[in-house]
This record gives sequence, C-alpha cells and structure tokens, in this order.
Amino acid sequence: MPVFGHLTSRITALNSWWRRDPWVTATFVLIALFMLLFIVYPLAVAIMTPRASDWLRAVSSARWQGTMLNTLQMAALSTTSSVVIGFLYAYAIVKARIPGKGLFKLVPLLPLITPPFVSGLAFILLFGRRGFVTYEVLGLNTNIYGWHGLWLAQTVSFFPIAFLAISGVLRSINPNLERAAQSLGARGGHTFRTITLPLAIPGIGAAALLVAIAVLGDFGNPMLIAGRFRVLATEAYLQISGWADMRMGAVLGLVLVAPALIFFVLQQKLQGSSSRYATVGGRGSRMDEAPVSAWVRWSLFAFCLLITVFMVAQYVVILIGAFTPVWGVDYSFTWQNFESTLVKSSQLWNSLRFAGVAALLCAAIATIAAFLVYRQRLPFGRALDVITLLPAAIPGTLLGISYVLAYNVPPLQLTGTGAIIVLSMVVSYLPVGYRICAATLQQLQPSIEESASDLGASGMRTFFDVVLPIIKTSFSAALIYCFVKAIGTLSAVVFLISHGTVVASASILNLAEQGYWGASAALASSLIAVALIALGIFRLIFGGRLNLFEI
Amino acid sequence: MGSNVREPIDPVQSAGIRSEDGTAMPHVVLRDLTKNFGDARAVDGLNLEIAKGSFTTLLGPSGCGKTTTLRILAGFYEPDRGDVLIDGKSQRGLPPFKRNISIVFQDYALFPHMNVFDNLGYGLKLRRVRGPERRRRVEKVLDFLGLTRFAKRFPHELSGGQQQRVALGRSIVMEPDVLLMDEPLSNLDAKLRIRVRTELKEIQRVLGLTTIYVTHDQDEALSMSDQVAVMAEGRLQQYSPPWALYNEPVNPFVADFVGHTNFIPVRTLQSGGEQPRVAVLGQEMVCSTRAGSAVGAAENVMLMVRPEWFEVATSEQERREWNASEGVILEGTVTASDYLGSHNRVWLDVEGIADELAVDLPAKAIDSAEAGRKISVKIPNGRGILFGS
Repeated sequence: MPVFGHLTSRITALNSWWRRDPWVTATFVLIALFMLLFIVYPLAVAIMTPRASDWLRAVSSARWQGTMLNTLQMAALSTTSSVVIGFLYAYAIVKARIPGKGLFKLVPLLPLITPPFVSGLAFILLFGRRGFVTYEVLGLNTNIYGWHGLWLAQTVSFFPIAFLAISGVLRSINPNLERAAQSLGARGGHTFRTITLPLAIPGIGAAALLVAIAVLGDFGNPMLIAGRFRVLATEAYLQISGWADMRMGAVLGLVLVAPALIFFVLQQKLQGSSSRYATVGGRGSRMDEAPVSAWVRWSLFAFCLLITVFMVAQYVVILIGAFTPVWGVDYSFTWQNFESTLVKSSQLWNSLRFAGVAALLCAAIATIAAFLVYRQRLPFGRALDVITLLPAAIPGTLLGISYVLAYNVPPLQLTGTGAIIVLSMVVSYLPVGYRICAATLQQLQPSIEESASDLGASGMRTFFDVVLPIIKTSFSAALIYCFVKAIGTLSAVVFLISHGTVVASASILNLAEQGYWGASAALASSLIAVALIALGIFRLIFGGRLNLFEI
Repeated sequence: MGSNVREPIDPVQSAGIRSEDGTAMPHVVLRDLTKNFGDARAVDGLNLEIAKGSFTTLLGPSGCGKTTTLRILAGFYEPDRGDVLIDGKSQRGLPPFKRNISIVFQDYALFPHMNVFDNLGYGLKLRRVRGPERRRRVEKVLDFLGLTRFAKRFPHELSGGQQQRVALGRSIVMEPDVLLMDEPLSNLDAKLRIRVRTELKEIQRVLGLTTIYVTHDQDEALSMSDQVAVMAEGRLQQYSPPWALYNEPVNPFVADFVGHTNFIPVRTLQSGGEQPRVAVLGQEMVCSTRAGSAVGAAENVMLMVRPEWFEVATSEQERREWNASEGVILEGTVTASDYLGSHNRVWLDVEGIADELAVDLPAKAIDSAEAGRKISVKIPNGRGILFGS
C-alpha cells in the first residue's frame, strides 16, 4: 500500500530526527500527543457515538426538523445583517475616512472582548417585558423574546467579526484602482459598484463564514432571549443536561457543523474563482483613499454614530443594572448585587483561575507548535498544522458535547474537574493563538536561526535563545487573547461545569434566566472590567505595537 | 542642495513660446501652481507651458513635487493656489471624472477582476459609447498595441510589459486631451525598459497626444522628451529640450542631477560677458556662461566640466603636441577606473584640486586607465561652464 509506505518512510524520518535532535523530537511528540488526545479523540468519539437510528430519529421528527430550519434561518439572517453592517462600518472607516474614525474604530472591538451574550442581556434590560425603553419610556407591553430579539442580539454581537475581516480586505484594495476608474469617467457610485464592491467580494465571503460559525455556535443569546424559538445549540444542551440523551445531543452538535462546512466549501469556491483578484503591477507610490462625496460620507458618519450609540447603550445599561435592586421596579442605588455575586460566591474567581491557566497553556502550546511547524520541518508537520487549526471550524457547542462524551469514562475521566474546563478553553482559542505566532515566525528570516545553529546551538536551544525573545510579543498576544476570550466563554463550558466549577459566564446566564437582573448585570460588569484591565496591562507593556484583533 | 535651488523662473522666457501674438497657443498651462501637505510645500509656484502634441517630462529626485503636479493635473488633488488651463479653460474644481485627461499609473492600477478587453472598454462604457462602436474602438487600440490575442486574459495572466501596455491602452482608447504617465516604466526590468521606452515614444508620436511624463530616471527623460522640466523642492529649475539640459544646464543642481559632472574651483580674471577668462591652477582658459548670470572679475566660482569634455593624451607624443594656449592642461594620477564597455571612466587625483576628477578615456586607451598611472588631460577653451558661487 502506497499510503503505508509513505507513513513508514515518515516514521523513519522521525526516527532519524530523534537521533539528530532528541529535544525537538520529544517536544514534537508531546505536542502531537496533546492534539490527538484533546482535539482528534473527542471529535472522533462524538462522531462515533450516535447510531444510525439516532440520525434517523433526528431527521424524521418534526421537532428536530423545525429546530434545524430555525437554526439555518437564524444563521442566514444574523450572518447577512452582521456582514452588511460590518461592511458599511468598515467602508466608512477605511474608504470614506469619516471624521472621528480613530474612535469609531474602537467601538466594534468592545463585543470582541466581552462575552457575546452581553448583548442579549442588555437588550432584555432595554426592550424586555420590564425593559427600560419599552416599559418605562414607551409604556409598551411588547417584549423582545423570540427570533427578532435573537436576531438583534446576534447582529450586534457578531458584526464586529465581519467588520474586522472586511476592513482588512478594503485596506488591501489599491486606492489607485478607484482613482483610475474616476479618471476614466466613473463617478463615486459607479466606482463603488464596478470596482470596490467586486474586489471586496472574496473578503465578504470569508467574513460571512466566520460570522456563520459564530452564530451557529452561539449559546448564550438563544438561551437568554430566544424565548420559545428553538435552535440547535440550546436544544443539544437540553438533550444532554435535561434528558441525559448523549446520543441525540451528539447528533444535534454534529448537525451544527454541516452548514459551516457548506459555507466553507462555498467560500473556497468563491476564493478559487477570484484568484484573478490578486494584485497586479509592481510597487508604486500608494495614494491616500479616493474621496467619496460629502453626502455619502456624512450618511456613513450618521450610520456609525447610530451603531456606536447602540453599542455604548448596551454597556451603560448593564452597568446601571448592576447597581439597581430590582430592574423595572426599583431603580434606587445599591451595592447589594456585587456583594452577592463577588463576595459570597466564587464564580468570578473560578473564571479567573481557569482562564488564567488556560491562557498560559494556550500561548505556550501555540508558540511551540508554530515553531515546530514553521521552523523545524519535521515529518507530520503539515498534519500538526491542520489539527491545530481544526477547532476554529468547530462550534463551541460541539466541542463541549465531545468533551462530555470523551472524558466521562476512564482512562481519562475528567468530567466535574476544573481541568476539563481549562482544556476546552485551551483548544477553543488555540487556532487564533497559533496563527498569531505563525504570522510572526513567517516574517522572521530563517537565516537568524540558521546562524544560531551554525554557531553550535541545538534545535531547542535556538528556540529559547533566538526564537523566544523575538516572538515574546506574539506569545503575550496569544496569552491575552485566550484569557480575554476564555473568561467570557460559554458555548462549550456550559456542558462541562459542575457543582464546584461554575464559571461566571454560566452564572450570569443562570441569574438572568431566574430574573435576577441586577446580580446578573453586576457579574457581567465585573467580567467586562477584568477583560478591560487585562487588555490595559497588555497595552501598557507592549504599547499599540500589536493589534490583537486584526489577525 | 538648498543653495543650488533657483527661484521660480519666468515660463514665457524659458519655454520660448510666444503667447501674446497668439501664433502658438500652448495646450496646457500651469500657472503659479502651489500645493501644501500640512507644513510641507510639495509644489511651489510652478509655471509651465506645454505645446500641443509635445512629450514633456517632469524630472527630479523623489520628493521634488513632480508626482504631486501630475495628480493635480489629473484632478486628484486641488491646488492651494494657481490653476491649470487646458486650451485656455480653467480646470479648477473639476473632478477627475469630468476631465478629459487620462493617467497611466506607476503600478498600472489595472482592474484585476476584468479582462483586458473590459479594462479597455471601461471608460468608453461610462461615456455611453454604444456596443459595436465601443468594440471597434477597443479592438483598434488592442491591434495598435499588439494586444489582440490577450483580449480575454486577466491582468495577472500577463507579463509586466504586457500589463504596462494594457494600462497605456486603457488611457489612449479614451482619446484624451492630455495623457499623463507616472513613472510607467519603473516596474520593468532594465532591458525591457529601454525597448518599451522607444515603443512609448513612437506611439505618442503617431497619435500626436500631448503627453506629460513623470520620472526620476534621467536616461528616460533625455531619450523620450521634447521638453524636460527639471524640478527640485517643488520648484522649476530648468525647462528646455534634452540636449540643452545636458550641455547648457542653468544651475549647479541641474548640472549635477543630469549626467555626471566635475566642479572645479576657479578664479575669474575678467568679466568678459559671455566668454569670461578664468585661472585654473595658474593656467588660463576661456569658458562659457549662461546668459544673464554673468560673473564679475576676481571672483571665486565653479567651473563645470563633463567627464567626456576632457581631451586625453594617451602618449607622450600627443602630450608634447599640446599648446598651453589651447586650454588648461592638468596632470594627475589615476586612483580608480571603471570599465564601461564603450569607454573607461577614471578617477584622477590632481594636485591642487580637492575632489577627484571623473574623466572618460576612449576604450582603446586601456593602459592609461590603470590605477597609479600618471596621465595628462586638457580642458579645451570654450568647454566648461561657469557658475557663480
């Protein structure tokens, strides 16, 4: 068998690596073992768990069909609106250069560093049954629960992902193309339709994929605000936690991957047909962006202002809610909410220590994996690369279900421990951390390490003496990224917590479901504060040199 | 460089165009054009008159304001002061899409999502030129530029030279009043650049398009242009045909920027109008000076001599035949030599002159080019231009 021959030859190659550089080889084997054990194995278990009859049950029952349809609808709606808003916002900042763009640029970063369900919580406080706007100001008796509330919350939560992806693409469109079009007689609107938009299409596709994966895996918002509108992520949770139906839970989790996969294939097709979009021509002095008409510029300004007001209002309302005894009834001032959530219980502390350990592990593994893949050219390096990036395509819900299924039984019985939560956090944010480190390594001349090894340094020695000092910035970036995301994460963790390991994000959700809005808001405010402080420390140490969220 | 830079010069005088009697109205006029970026003055009171159908080059080092000038012409920037007139009509406030001016960018700026045919047809479509007519015009230009078989290709499927021609085609199919080119050859390799240079000039001549070309490459400027405007620090230094630029530079900046130049410190003996006598290391010679920049007697000034203006004695015999009244004879030691194929350029250390002199020797005088050799050179009377200090 040729595959077999290939495999044996690579194992032989690994063996000769072992003789040449035992430290590097041993590290590689360790990292590979970690990936196999905590990424490949649980996913394999999740895939193997349901039987054919379970699949049949899922497809044939009207209830699951409805849920799947709801999920698809939601993914389509929220992705479309997020991408449209993200595009307009990015266009306003990158191409139209609206006044105050330096400040406007920061607004979409807020949802990226706060738990996604914060929007859901804020919208309930603003537009819920006792919502400040709907009930207090307008005196309406409507409420936001349902698909429309979910749509709103997800759009606000996830448009920043689209914004980041699309603004990168818009920046890469040479302004000379737009100038050339103008010089050939195209007005602003025509330039936009015939030049800017067609060239941004691949980026828009990529943004849509990222948003869709986030929407499909979103657990907090549907739980909080969807009311009786059922989606797969919440249904899978109910199957497992409510009915202990592991096999159906696994089916629903796996079904979540399907739309993401379809999207992925579509996007690859789109990208394939657009290889012609590759920039041509050599270097040239790049001009600043071609000006857009005043009308467009000020409309976009108004649009960004509206979004900003909306975004800021969310955080303000949560902060106010944190100091309010009973939302909708008693708006006096109190510290009570903080006392009950911070002093008397340990959820925030749990979040902090799990996220802290996870961040350290994540950054270390990401750095070493990037070093091994991009610098050492070991056999199986390509496989390691693919596996490390794999969790990026896995919705958090599925990851959580896989972990429950895989580590419920010996030899690796981890359910109920803090370790399982930490591991799920590490794996969730490994792809981004890994990409941050890989990007730095790819910019680094290999000759630097070659000269170190020429001077007598072994493989791991070059890592510590040469590579590590250079990539310590990206190590810290991976660390802070993982920490900030992990303290607010919910989708996977919600399956893994037990009595002693409840984290703040799960507690926020729980308190909100029971109507303790004040306590819920106080805990959410504290989480946001911790994330902001962590980012502030990072900025203090590294300045604005590395922009965390532009990778 | 600061002290070498001249104040703005009078365009009418320098271009030699008679505009008062209306016999030769310039096609494009730049009048007192000024543009600032923040505190930096990119273009400073630029005056220029460009004749219809001519090939004019804006030449200068990077940051001299040549590209900014081109972008003002295209309508991408509005000048802070001054105006651009085309056929006597002010272009002030006209956006790029209302000007019948087309620009070829340094990076070509080809639309990557359109094939060659659509790139060329883009502007015509905007002008509402109908299908068959548009097709005919695009095909004519494709044929003219030898691009017909690439019509269906996308820009990334073309070589650098072909991309360059598509960019040119996209502009000329519009039949613009004025064609602008921003360093269009800088992304081509050296050999191709020389070929395309000839091609471009030929195309321009055949179409009779008024062309304004920006480059920092003096070879391009000298070989292609009818007129060259040398710029430095946003100001016009000299506006003249290429041969005059090389042989009659108006100031040390131009002399130094275009070609290689030796500056030898000399002392004037008498202010003899346009043919002053100067003393060089105790010898006397007659040299020339620019009109209007006469120097007085007993002044310390600079004599400019191009490397190929020297005469060289390749043998003792030749040296003995020279007469002191024919010019200034200098003896020096060769310190280094560059073999350039057609000739040798040697660096000559002459006692009494601080800087080493660059002297071109004929290729056959290869023996004289050896480092350490002593050779004699002569600046003949009349060669050498005097610049006041």
